[in-house]
Formats: sequence, structure tokens, C-alpha cells
Amino acid sequence: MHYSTKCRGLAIVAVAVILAVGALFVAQAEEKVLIVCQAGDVAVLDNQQSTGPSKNTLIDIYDWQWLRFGTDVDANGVLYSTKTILPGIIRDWRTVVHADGTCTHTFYLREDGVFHSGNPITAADFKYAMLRRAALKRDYIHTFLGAMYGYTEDFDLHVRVIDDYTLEVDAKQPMPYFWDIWNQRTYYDSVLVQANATPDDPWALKYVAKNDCGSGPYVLDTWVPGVEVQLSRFEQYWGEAPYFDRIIWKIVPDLASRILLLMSGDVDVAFNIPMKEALSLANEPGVKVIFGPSANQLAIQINANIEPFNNANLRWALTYAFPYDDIIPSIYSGNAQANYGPIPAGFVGAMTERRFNTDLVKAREYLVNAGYGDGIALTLNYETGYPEQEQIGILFKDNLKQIGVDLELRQLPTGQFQTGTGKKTLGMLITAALGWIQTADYYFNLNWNSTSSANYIGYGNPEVDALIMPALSEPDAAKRAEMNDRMQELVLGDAAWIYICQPNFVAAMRSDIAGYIVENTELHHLWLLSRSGG
Amino acid sequence: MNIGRKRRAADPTRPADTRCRPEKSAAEGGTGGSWGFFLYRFRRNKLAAVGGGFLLLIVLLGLIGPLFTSYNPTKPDMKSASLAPSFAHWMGTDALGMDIFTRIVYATRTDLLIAVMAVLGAAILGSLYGVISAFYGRVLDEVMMRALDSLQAFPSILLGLAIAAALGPSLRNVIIVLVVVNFPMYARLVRSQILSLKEATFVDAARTVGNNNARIMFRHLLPNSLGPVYVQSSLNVGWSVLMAASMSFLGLGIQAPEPEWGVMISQGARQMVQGEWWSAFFPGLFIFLFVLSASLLGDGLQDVFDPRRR
Repeated sequence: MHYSTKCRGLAIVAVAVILAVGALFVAQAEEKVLIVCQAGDVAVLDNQQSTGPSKNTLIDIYDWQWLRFGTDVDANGVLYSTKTILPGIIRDWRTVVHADGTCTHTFYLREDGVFHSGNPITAADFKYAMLRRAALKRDYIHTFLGAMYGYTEDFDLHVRVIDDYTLEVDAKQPMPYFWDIWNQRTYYDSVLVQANATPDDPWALKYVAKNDCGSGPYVLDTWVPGVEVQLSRFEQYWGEAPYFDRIIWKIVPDLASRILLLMSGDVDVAFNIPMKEALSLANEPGVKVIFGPSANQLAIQINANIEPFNNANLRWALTYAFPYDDIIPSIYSGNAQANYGPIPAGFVGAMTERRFNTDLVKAREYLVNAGYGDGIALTLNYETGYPEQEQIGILFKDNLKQIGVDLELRQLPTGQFQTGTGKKTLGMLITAALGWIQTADYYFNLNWNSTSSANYIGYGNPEVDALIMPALSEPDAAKRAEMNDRMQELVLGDAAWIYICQPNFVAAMRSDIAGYIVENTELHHLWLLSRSGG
Repeated sequence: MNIGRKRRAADPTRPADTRCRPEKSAAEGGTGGSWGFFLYRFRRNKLAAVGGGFLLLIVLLGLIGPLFTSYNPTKPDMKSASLAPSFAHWMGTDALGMDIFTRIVYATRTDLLIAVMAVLGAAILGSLYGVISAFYGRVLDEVMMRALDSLQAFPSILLGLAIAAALGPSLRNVIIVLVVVNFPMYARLVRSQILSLKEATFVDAARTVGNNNARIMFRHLLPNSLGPVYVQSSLNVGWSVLMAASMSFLGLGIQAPEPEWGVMISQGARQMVQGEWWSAFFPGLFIFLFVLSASLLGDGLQDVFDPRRR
């Protein structure tokens, strides 16, 4: 009797366990999970310290845009972002132009926004975000803000918190790209950030680098550096709730693995797919690849502050030796736009034909004039993980060999490459430059301003420097174009870049993933994705 | 006059084990000398002979292979990009139209150079380190061995990658990395040999007749401790090629477009998913054959040199 009671008890426990496990499986099966993979690791969670791979994750944790861009569908059925400004966490805005030509922008915030910590989103958080960006000076935006406002050193006077949900910002004058700039800025939970600031680290760089201080549609769950980042939906998000309950970012440095994972359906989206592989993937069943024109300028950048590249004749020899016509058809299978100068193709003022074509005879003449008639050994640096850049380097090397230059290709790990570009210590490098504001003067500020951190070769031309700020703040489009043309001529004359092309944008995903919006930032807003039929 | 032979025969400093080693007659397959005996033992190990044969073929390919191809190993030819193996291109072409067979032939030279230089460097450095450490013993031995412990505490591939990242990618630096990663193994091998040999009577005899420490170490002890070093070297050759290829695959070794098996696999792996299997397959096959041959040869040498396995 006693024995059978015991057995019955055990049976009840076993049934309960089976039911519980079953329920768990059912719950997991119903959970909507988006799995993505990318090549680069997520290094930090702070926009002010992050690089591309990190930013892709950040835009789901932080409410990346103060306002929203509208969307439209192109002829191929691809969703893309337009320049139409729509309300976001800032529900309304107003600009008043004063009699002296200055103006005041007033922003009205939604009152239902909260951060992941539970703190309410207030105007003070926006002011703090501007202040932090200007103080850290870690990117080129602070110089742009300086040009726009001239008030970055005097925030309390010109950036005013009127009440919890109203912010006023003074500007010298109405600016041409005002909304483009404002629309793509991160804001932080200033209460949380300031609580973790220390006298040694007044902007809490260490804390923000490793912790979630955002209010975006997803909350950081787990983060294993080099392995994966897991995010779960933030239920109190002020905007529309995202479709997926969870997003899992997997770090898969190997290209073949990323492709195979996507083809097998083990991941829903794969990033960092080179063009040739993307074209091949587009024919695979169950996979779709979104292509689009991009303003991403791929170029060989030459640092004239480092010997022997300070020799202008040598730079011209390199310019004429580059195999321009081979790149787009052979490396990109035609999926790239030609780029002939510092103003990207598709922009107002862009050159429509190449001024310097491949001419090995002329290249040899310049090399002799440079004093290297007996030959010279040079190094071209490129970052790991970009096979097309390596192939371009090999084609370049072959041409250079014919004029007497022995080119060594040096592949650098990401960290080493970024250190080199940050400190401007690389003599010659191949890399791509993408600006989020699609205008010529913005690109001049980004790439050619002697104080810009994105100017990896330390280019400096006093006349260009003097023209950048006036062009950025010039409201008259014709005058602005004139200044941009002048800057283009100056930059071309210095032979600092070899303009290769603008490879098309690529995003590869499973066919049932819907809602992908092509952004000019080339960042991926995964919180907008859904699964058709799901 | 055969003074030298007479003197050597009477030299009391010669180690006993070399004097009492049995010499095979020609009828037994030997040549009557030590090398003849080694060859006799070696020939009896069929796998080792196969390994040695393959290795010889690969070396020959590196030496005379260029005679069989008219292509340039580093010259792109976009019109011939990604061609499958054919009569014109025996092993196909890569994404830039470079002939895979030609690149493999030239890569053989590069990889053999790396392997030989790396193993030679590690063996010389390790042997010197080991003999000094063991001969002087006491505090010096302790310090030198703890230094080796520290070096070997790091996984070899990580240590190699760290050094390569610091030095920068180049052929010379790959060899330096392999020497640094490998020499502790030789140092320990030689040290263990010297520790037993230095108590032998021939060392006392050498000292008695007035040999100084340097002469005893390098003239008498070191030559008698090299048997295991030869075995280890043959095994290490394959491993060095594998390590060099791994470094190149990760972008920290030889740089494209220089022909090297690891570089070729790295470039070809990207094409595999598009069905272009040949770009990575053939260099991979050569690495496999080379490492296997070196291992079989190493096993054979071990049989010859290790009295317990005779």
C-alpha cells in the first residue's frame, strides 16, 4: 500500500514535469525570434565610441532618430527612406526666424516615452545628448554643429529646457540640412548616465560602453563579446511595438559560414556579404537580396604627410597607374556606380566623366619625375574582411609592377586598421567613406576638413578648410554649389585619393522577411522587420 | 698515414653508445656505417618510405614545377576568372584569373622555405638554449626553464597570432613567429638529453684532457643529443606549414597575391559557396599531402633513432 502511494506520487510528479516542459516548448515555439549574423564584433554600446558593427546593434537599443523619415517603394518593390520628416519621439517642432537673421527651433516631446530603466524621457535628456556629443568631440558632427550654431561652448544660453517636454535651440541662421542632422542622433538616459559618471570619467564612457542606457524598441538581454548579443522587445516603447519578440545577433566572422547559415535558414538575415557572393545568393531558393545605389565612396587614400607620399609626382604616378576600367565589371559584376571625384556620383556637382584615366606611360613619367626611376617599394593597407579590396589591390599591384613600383598588400586586423586611420599613420590605404547627409559640402566636411576624424590621411588644404563652413551654412543652393565646385577642383589637384567607385548597397535575408527599409546610412533598422505569414 | 682515424679510435671522449652501436654488414642491408644502418632501418618502414617519397615529389615540384607552366603566379587575368579545371588550366583559375596550378607550384617554394627556415631556426635556437640550461644547471637552469614555462603557457596559435599582429604580416615575420613558438620544444628535448649525457664518463674524460666548457658543450655533448632533434624536426616541418597556412588564412601571414597555400585557401574558401571548389581544394590537398608525408617520415625516423622501437 505504502509502495503504491509512493509510485502514484512519482507518476504525478513525472506527468507535471512533462507538462511543464511541453508548455515551455510550446511557448518557445510561439516566440518570434529574428536571428541575424554579421562579420564584425559588437565592441561597445555607446554611439560616441562605436564603429559600424556596433552601431547596427545600437539602433535597436537606442531610439536612433529624434524624428522619422517617411518611406516609399521603388520600381523593384524595395522600401526606401525618403526625406519627408515625420513625428517621432519629438511629436512637433517649430522654427522662428528673428529680425537679426538668427533663429530658434522649438521641439515638443511626446510625454509617454520612458527609458529602459523606467526613467521618463524628457527635454533634459536631449540637451544632455547634445552636450555630451559636443564635449567628447569624437566624431565630425560636433564640427558641423559648430558651423550651424557656433554655440557649442555655451549650451546653457542657447540650448534651453523650457519644461520637461519642451526644448529650445538657438541657431545663427536657418540651415540647409537642419532636419537631416537632427533626425539621426542618439539620446541617452541622462539620469542613469550621470549617476554613473565619475570625476575621472565625467561622461561615463566606461558605463555607457557596456550598459543599456537607451529607450529603443529592444532591451539588451545578454551580450557575450565575440559571440552574440540578445535583445528582447521593450514593452513600454512609445512607438509601434516591433513584430519580433527577440533579436539574436550572432558574430560570424567567416564569410562562407554566414552564407551557409543564411542558405540553410539558420539565420534570417546575413550582413557583410560581398557583391559577387550576393549576386550568387540572389539565385538561391528561399533567399532574397536587396541591392541599391549607395553614396559609399571606395577609394585609395594617400597620406601626403608621410614619406614618400609627400611627393606629389609619386601621387600622380599612382593615380595614372590605377586600373579604373577593370574594377566595376570584374570585381563588382557591374553592381557599382563610377565615382570620378570627391563629390559622390548622384550628388549635385558630381563629375560626370573621369579626368584621370589609366595611362601607364604617363604614370611612369611621373614616377621618374618623382625621383623613383629605379623603382620604389610601397605598401597598401586594407582591413580584414573585405575581399573585394584585396582583389582591387592585386589588380593595382599588377599595373604598378609595370611602371617599376613594388606594391606590398598589407591586410590589417580591424583594430589595427582603425588605430591607423584614427591616428592617421597609414601611408596608403583602401577604404570606403559614407556620409549620412547626402550633400557635397557635408562630404567635404567629413572627408576633407583637416580637423575631421574621418579624414584618415590628415589631408589639409587651407583654402578647402576655409570654404567648408561657409558652404555648410550657405542657404543659397547656387552659391553653395559654386563653393563645392571650387573645393572639388582643389582636392582633385592634390591627388590625395584615387577614386574607385561606389559599390551598391547589399542586404541578404530569407525570403519571408519583410519590412526592410534601405537607409542612406546603410544601417539596418531590424526593429521594423517582420515575417510574412508569421 | 691514417692519423686521424687512429686518433679518433683512441679518443676516450667519444661517447660509449656511439662506439658500441652495432654496425650492419652490407649483406644485412647496411653499408657498414651508421648512416647505412639508418637507411637499412628506414627502408624497412614502408609508410616512412612512402612519406619520404611524397615529400621528395613535393620538393621536386617546387624546384622544377615552373618548367611545366607558362603562367605568371601573381598576374591577374580577368578574362580567365573562375575557370574550372581544364586542359589549359589543370587546376582551374581563381577569382582574378590566376592559374591555380602555377600558384601551387610557386607556393610550394614559399611553404618549403618557411618550413625549413622555421624548423632550422627553432632547432638551432632551442638546442643552444637547452644545452646551456642543462650544462650549467642550478639557478640558471631554473630561470631558463621557468622562462620557457611562461612562453609555453600560451596556446601556440594564440602566441603566434599575437606576435604576428605585433610584428606585422610578412614572410620574415612568419618565420620569426614559428621559431619563437617552436624553439621551447627543442630546448626541452636537448636539455633532457644533456642532463643524462653530462654525467657520462666521456665528459669527465674530455674535461680531464683539458677541454673547456664551451668545447665540451658544443663539440661533445650537443652532437650526441641531436637524434631526437632530427625526429622532432621532421614532425615539425609539417606542423610549421600548417601554422604558416593558418596565419595566412587569418590574414597575419603571407599577404596576397603572393602564392602560399594558406593564402590560396583563404581566397578560395570564399568561392566554395558559389560552387568554385577548385580554388581552395587543390592548395588544401597539397597541405594535406605535405603534412601527412612529413608525419610518416617523422615516424620512420623515430623508429630508427629510438632504440626502444627497434
